[in-house]
Amino acid sequence: MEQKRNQKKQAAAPSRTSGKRIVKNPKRLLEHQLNSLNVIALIVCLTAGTVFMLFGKRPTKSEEENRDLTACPQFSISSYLNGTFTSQFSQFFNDTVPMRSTFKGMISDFRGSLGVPYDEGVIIIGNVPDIDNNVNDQTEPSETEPIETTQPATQNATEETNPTETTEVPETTEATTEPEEEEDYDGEIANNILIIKDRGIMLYGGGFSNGQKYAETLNKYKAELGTGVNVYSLVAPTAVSYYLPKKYESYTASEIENINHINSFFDGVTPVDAYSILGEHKKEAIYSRTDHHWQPLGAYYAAQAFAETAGVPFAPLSDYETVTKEGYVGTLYGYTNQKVFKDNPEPFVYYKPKNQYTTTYYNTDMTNERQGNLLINLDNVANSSWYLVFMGGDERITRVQTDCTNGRKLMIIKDSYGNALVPCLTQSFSEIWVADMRYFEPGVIDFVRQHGITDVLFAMNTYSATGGNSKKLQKIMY
Amino acid sequence: MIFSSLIFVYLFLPLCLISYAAVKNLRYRNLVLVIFSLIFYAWGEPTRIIYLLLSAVLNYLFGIGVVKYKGKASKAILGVSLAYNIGMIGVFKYSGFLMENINAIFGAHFPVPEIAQLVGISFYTFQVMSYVIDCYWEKVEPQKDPMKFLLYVSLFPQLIAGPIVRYSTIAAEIDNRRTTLADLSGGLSRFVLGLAKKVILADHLFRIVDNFLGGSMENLTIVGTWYGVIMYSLYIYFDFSGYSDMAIGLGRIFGFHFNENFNHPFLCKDITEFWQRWHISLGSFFRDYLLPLSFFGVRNKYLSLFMVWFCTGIWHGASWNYIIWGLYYGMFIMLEAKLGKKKMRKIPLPIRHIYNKLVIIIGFGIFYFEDLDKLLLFLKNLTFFNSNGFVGIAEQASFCNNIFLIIAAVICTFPLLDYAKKLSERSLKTQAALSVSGTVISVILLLLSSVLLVDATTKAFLYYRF
Repeated sequence: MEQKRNQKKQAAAPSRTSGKRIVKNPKRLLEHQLNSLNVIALIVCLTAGTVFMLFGKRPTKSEEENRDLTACPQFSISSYLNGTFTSQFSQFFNDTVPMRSTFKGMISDFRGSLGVPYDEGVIIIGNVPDIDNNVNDQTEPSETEPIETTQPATQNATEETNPTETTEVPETTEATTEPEEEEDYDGEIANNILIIKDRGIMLYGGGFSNGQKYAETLNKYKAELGTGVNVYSLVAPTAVSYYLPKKYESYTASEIENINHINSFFDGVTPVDAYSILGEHKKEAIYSRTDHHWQPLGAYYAAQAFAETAGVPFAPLSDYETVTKEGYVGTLYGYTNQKVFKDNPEPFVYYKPKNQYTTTYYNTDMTNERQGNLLINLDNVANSSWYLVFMGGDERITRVQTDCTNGRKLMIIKDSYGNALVPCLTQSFSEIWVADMRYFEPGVIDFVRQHGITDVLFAMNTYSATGGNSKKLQKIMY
Repeated sequence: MIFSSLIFVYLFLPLCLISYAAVKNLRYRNLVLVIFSLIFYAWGEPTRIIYLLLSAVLNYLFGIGVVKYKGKASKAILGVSLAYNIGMIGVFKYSGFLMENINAIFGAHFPVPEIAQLVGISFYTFQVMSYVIDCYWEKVEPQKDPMKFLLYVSLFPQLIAGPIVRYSTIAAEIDNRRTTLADLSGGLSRFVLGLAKKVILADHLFRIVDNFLGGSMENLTIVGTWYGVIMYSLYIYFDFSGYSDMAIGLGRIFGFHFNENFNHPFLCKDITEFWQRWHISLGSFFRDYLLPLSFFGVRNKYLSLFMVWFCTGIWHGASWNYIIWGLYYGMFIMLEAKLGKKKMRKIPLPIRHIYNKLVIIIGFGIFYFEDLDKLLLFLKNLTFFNSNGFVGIAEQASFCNNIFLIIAAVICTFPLLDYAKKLSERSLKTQAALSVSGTVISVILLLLSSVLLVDATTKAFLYYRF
């Protein structure tokens, strides 16, 4: 207000000095009034905005984006001098705007009104995908190599030298990208998303040479673990394999070609064919429309394929209690900020096994043992994060001891796609250990030996298997 | 700190305005502006202020020196000042580039220095250089008051991304100025207009650009490539002219009247005219200070032109594509000069427009790609030298999804305000109606831009890095 008064005073100053002349000249009088009106209107807006920014209640968490917002930094001379204070303060000021999610909604509405829908409501988020199914590796050419636009398929992907890592870290045009968000998605969301009607589909870049490395790493695991331990690979396809209309096919690499390519390198590792069974059920809600994960039902079918491969019993869905939560708006909304997701929530359906089992959690370094629920209570979980129902997330080690008496002990090494498999296998294995490849700290080989594990399942989606995440498997081996 | 951020609009600016209005004495007002300017510049990286202060102190002394001493001594001081200023830009902006090229050409392995670029160094160094040269040429009186000189160097509206304000433009206003009601009103509206250009138009156009040109472009069709680069041309105009609008608006709020930096460049009829309308303060800097120079005792029109366009190019960044970009323009300007104005005028206007738009748009493509391999791929993709097809779904979808944005952007390249001004001269009633509409539009633009700022990254203006 003080600002406003001051500005008014300032604005009034020239009129005092030239007041008489103004009265005589109607044009100048009018201009004076119009300028005053303009100044008052804009100063009022600026003042109101400032008061709102300074005294409005600042949120600390964003439910849509499933992250803590930037905290106000502590001032210190050193943090000021090295610039961290000021840059963090700017980030805090911007990140925690009062009524943030309302404004975000308004922004998404505004962006939705910048044009008209194309075709069946197709929106492409991110770069125009640089996919060519004929190219054996979708990695970016290294700087020293000339860029070839469309090379016909080379017969052997292994000929690729020095491939650059394909990275699935969302390197986005979205104005909201901040490091925290990238970490939250942890390399699982693709750069390119195609929205068709109300479904978001991540476009798959592929990565044959990464896939080969992935297969070779698993071979190494198998060689280390020996014949006494079964090693399986379940590379889960994503929605792009089933829901991308044919005419957009050129915008994605083929997941099944990449999966087959991986499988072709296995030596002693047993591949699990989840692709076919999911295809048989694609008319059911096996993938979320608004989230980058599958729905628990998709995981159930994939688990069935695994159980058949591993020769263990598998419970029908009737042996589960079905829980339906309405109003799921998954990660793709936070990532793309597209109104269509917010306006079209979907149900999130998961299945509680009815058999007896106990769940024990550990920190990622195997400390802090505690009992818990395999499926967490979602009552206080934001509707964007219901996929957390499985063990509450990734950053932990989980042990499930079941009433299954076959004596088979399974270890699942996985990305978040693997989480949804766990409840489907409580009736198939006597014990299940779950470790996330991004966070697991003990060496896997020793861990398997120590705990008498009989079966190791590597379960992750195609993005992880052929992307940057796969190299983490080498890190956690010993 | 950048103008298009909530912290600037709703914290820094109000505090600055209150403090400025709270003191009446011009000396204190200047002090307020200096303090806020230094806070503004130090935001994010306080140590860089040392270089700004050093530049201010030395050039203050150089300015006095070139006038106080005559003859050779004066020339020597001018030489030292130029060496220092160009040296500073050289070290902070070009040393890495230079070393890389020396290593590449001679196969040497000198360590490539990794010096973080000083924000705004190209702008404020050019300002102080123009000041010292003007003092030497006795076009301006040197500023004796160090505080006033520091104000000229550090004045935050134009500090980090221009326009390059000549000392002569604001010398009188540093000593004596007043914000009239018209200044305050016009300045606020201009600031809001610039903010809206940046946040509503430029930022959304850039999302399209990044989708099409930001990836590997391996599969981009011909239409997709043209679409991407046309959007980029629009983006860069709104981004940079938006910044200049904000700078000029803020200047006016504090009683300074900077020269215009853009004059609807896309309306130009030829490339020569484009540069009279685009980044005017840079073009006029080179015209006034570089063009008249003789090189190695020789004054040659073509050599001078080459130097001007080489410098214009490299001023934008330490990368070959900028040099190519500068020389590319130089080439067309030379061709137009060769052809002569009369012959140029004889060419039908539509053809001239097609010619200059093509040159400008392809030019911005050259400007965009620092990676020369990608630039080559881009040029291939523009033509039929690729096999990605003519048009794809991606650009059709993007065009539909952004059709209103694109129409608005194209309309806004026309001098709408000039049309309104002309219209308002018809009668007082029209003037009142237009002015009130202007106020309503300004308020809407401010509110909309503010909401959009919630989603803004720290992504700065493109010209921030030059």
